[in-house]
Amino acid sequence: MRKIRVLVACGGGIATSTFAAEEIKKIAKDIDIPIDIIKHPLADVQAIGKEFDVCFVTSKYSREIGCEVISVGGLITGLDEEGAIRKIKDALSRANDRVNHQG
Amino acid sequence: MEVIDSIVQFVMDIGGGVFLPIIITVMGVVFKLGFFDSMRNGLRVGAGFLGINIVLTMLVEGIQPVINYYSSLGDGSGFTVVDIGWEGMSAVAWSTSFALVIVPLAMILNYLLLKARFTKTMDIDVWNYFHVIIGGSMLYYILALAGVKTGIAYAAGVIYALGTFVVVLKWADWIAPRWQKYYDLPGTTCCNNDTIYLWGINFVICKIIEKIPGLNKVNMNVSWFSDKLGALGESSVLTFLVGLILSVITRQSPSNALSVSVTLAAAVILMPKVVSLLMEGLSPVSRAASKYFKSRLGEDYEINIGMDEALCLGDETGIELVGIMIPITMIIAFLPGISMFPIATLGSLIYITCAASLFANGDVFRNLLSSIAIVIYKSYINSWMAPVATMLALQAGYIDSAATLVSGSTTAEFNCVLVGLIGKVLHVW
Repeated sequence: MRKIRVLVACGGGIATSTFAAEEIKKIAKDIDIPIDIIKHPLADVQAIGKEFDVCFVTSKYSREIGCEVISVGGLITGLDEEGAIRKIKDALSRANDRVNHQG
Repeated sequence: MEVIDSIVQFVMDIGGGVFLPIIITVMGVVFKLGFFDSMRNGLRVGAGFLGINIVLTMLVEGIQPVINYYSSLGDGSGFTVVDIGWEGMSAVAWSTSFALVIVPLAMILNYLLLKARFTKTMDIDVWNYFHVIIGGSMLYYILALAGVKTGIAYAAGVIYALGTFVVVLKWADWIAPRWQKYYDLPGTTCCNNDTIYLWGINFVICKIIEKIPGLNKVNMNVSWFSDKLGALGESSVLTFLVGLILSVITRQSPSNALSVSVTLAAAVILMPKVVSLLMEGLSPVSRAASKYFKSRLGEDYEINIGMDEALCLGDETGIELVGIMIPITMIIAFLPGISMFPIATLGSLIYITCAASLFANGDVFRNLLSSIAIVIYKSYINSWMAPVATMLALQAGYIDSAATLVSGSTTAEFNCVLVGLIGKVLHVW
């Protein structure tokens, strides 16, 4: 069983992503999935995406980066926060299945 | 008056670095986050301050050989200003005592203005209140230097910051329909001070292009460029290369060149880590506060949630243009009269390119020309404002002397520029 490597990205990898990362940590704890969370500027994502199991971004993002990308803007704005939390739970579970339950 | 003056002076002397942790703790308790959790948040903010202090010192000392080279030329040319970016400027703003006065006042003011239906924007992005705080604290120091009494200067600073806050709320109201439509972000708007010059320039450039026959039909594709540079990758690698380039230009010895480059890259890696400590401490409080105000307001109001540009940074055109804007930004730095070499700026280009899609409607050519114009504007203003930014950083205790000038992108915002002009009129600098 290894931890899920989670990338959280916003513009500078500082403010908004910290906000999101704190929430994602709580959600992961709730559903009991161990994660390693790292924050980065969005501009870095393309170069380092492949090192992660799942990537959460606070904006929309449509590029291929080598891992699943999930937009979680709702976490920041509070608009459809429930939807965003559900998406995060699903994505973490999927990543966990891929990493820890394969074969 | 005497009493107020001495209280203000006392607070200024101790600095927000000590006060803000206390205030964060108190605010946490007020919003029922629990005493020990609130205290932990407060202390994280304190740790963030000290951390930023260390990293900034490292950055300024690290680049010293380059600055020294230009100083020794003695003709004022070259790069004599260290770019500490919005990261550095935000830290400076948050460590002034203005932060603790302005944040709660701005929150309450926003609530009242929503209640009075004067605005539809609810600025929940408390972190970015630093943009208005910085203008207010700059005004305070400018007025204090001009000999205005401490208490009056302080009040002027607070009122100025709140005035700026209101202007930005109205601006966010105005931009909201277009923002929601283009970026597909219903129910939100963007309320950062910097968007005023970003979109102001963006708007003008796009209007001009539309008027010129031929130019309005240009279609361009730069994806090959971003694909190539995307592999170059992380900001740390890029900063290292920038360090090498600067070292070569300023004829450093190989050992100096390597030490400059590694130090710059290290500062760029460390800065987000320490600044996010501030943010970690701040976010539970700002979250609780915005929930509180939202619930008090009720369902009866049409509200746009105000955030910074973070929400729009996924813009395809914007991401594509970052790659090509990196070398262009470095070339722009060599225009005559620009004394700040972009270091932190390079990492924040994505804010500019993604925002510039708004009036370009995602068109690459219009976005590119807008982004170039924005960077030129910013480079000149940041250079010009360096003495004011340095004075603020010095007063806030982030740097030990004004011998090395610092500046950052925030100084290009209208509220800072206006204070700069006031300072010129008062002959303070």
